[in-house]
Amino acid sequence: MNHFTFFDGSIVGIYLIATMVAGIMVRKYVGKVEDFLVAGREMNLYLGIASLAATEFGIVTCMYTAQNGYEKGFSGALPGILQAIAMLLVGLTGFCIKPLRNSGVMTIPELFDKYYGKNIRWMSGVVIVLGGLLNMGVFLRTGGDFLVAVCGLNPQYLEITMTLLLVSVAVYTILGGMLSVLVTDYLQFIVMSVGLIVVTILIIIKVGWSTMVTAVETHYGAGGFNPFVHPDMGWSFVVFNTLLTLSIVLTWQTVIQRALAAKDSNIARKIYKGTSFFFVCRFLLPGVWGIAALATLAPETVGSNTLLAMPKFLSTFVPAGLMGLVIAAMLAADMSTDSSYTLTWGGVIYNDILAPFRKTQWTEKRGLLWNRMIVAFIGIFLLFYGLWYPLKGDLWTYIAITGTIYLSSMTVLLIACCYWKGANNWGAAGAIIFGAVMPVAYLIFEQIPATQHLFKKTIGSSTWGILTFVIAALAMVVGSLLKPKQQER
Amino acid sequence: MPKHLIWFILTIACVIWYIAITWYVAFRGAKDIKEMLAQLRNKQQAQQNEDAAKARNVTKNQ
Repeated sequence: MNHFTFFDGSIVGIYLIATMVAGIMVRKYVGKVEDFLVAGREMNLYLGIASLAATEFGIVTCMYTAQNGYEKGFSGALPGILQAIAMLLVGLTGFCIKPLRNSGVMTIPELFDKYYGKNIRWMSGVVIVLGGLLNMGVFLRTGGDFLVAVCGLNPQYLEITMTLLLVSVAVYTILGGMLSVLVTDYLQFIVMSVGLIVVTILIIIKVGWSTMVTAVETHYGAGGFNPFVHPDMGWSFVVFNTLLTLSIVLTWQTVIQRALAAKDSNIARKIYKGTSFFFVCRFLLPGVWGIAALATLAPETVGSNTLLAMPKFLSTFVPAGLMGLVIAAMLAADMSTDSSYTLTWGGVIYNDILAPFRKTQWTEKRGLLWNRMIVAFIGIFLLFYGLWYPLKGDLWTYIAITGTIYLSSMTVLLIACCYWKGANNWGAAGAIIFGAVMPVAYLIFEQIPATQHLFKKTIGSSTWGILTFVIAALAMVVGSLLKPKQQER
Repeated sequence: MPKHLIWFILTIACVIWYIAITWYVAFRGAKDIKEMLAQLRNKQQAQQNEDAAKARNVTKNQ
């Protein structure tokens, strides 16, 4: 029996109305495209921390990190620890983000235009948007699955509920752009954090630390505590995740957007440093929820889909009254992610993919109109692709592949343009092509019976992931060196 | 002493850090929003004044 009552519904309703009102109220401050996309570059440190944390924690994140806890024990928190280290190092050194923010650009491809030319800017924009939108395409349904499991929502109302949620997010994002996103992110960060903290404390007290540790020991042995000895992880997993998390910190558009919206590069670095430990929490706290599900739920209750273990656990564990806060917290997490993602991918479409079609300087009014139309279009895409079109196959593979299609190449391009004078458009094009082809090739070869064993068992996805980064970097070096000197810009 | 102390310490550190940062950001973030909106209001006002001055000059020249 789930514990979602009328009182809980009222908490959720009040939260939703408050968010909408706050998001719409700031629309009057949007006068230019720069206000819409990067909040006039007036974002300060604490608002930046709240916004970045809220954006990078959605229901889908909570579901997968909890699943990691359920399937890998405490070792499942490793990607969060690695990302925190990467954030801290980049924040301390200013590696890439300092030159990026100082350049005054609004997106990463815009920076590439200065170093590699317009074609590379356009190609980068296309792979970023493709990877980003396809990645985001599954957020809505996963959020719906969570609500169905936790508050006992009738599955036949799932589509309409999530559609209404998306419409409300789209309304304030279209009207207020980054300003609305920042203000609502702030509210969402507080609600989300309170929910996350309260439930975690409740779990530690009620389920108990020793019960959870025993459950991990029983199911996974030493591998549940040490990622190096876990049969599904090991050295290649650690190395691949080190590269992956560094590339996310440097080039994931929603993360970078906060650095670009910051007042200056010092504020951007402080936001990185201040948010770094959040990434440990982002993996470990929901991971503890997943471990609690492992310790308390019978395997037949969970069933074959371990993704739903944590929501099923919450539906019976969280008491009425607190349930409203948990749902509001998760909706907050989802809304902040949706609004930020639609805006940032929309920004790349406007700024980089449409750039060649803007032969003359557009007026601010026209630019704003186009940006708003693009955000609305992305909302419609998400609705049909992510919600009304049921996804076939494994969700995790889908998310990992869509993300890595551009992460390896964009990281190589960014590092090269910031720190290697010999980099040019031949190398950049090679890195983009190889960076996109490698993950797609893995997906294809692991499906073909003749090559399945070689790719899945002998090589493995982590080793292939490392190879993707290495080959993208090699393509950049070889391509740049091959280009005749007289053809360089 | 709790078993697997390092994970216990890390989990408790996460809870404490999260409480502290939420509390701190809740206050300082609100101040940041006020300042950000004030800056944008000033920018808009300056832009409007500039536009009005331009319009006056055009009328004067005509």
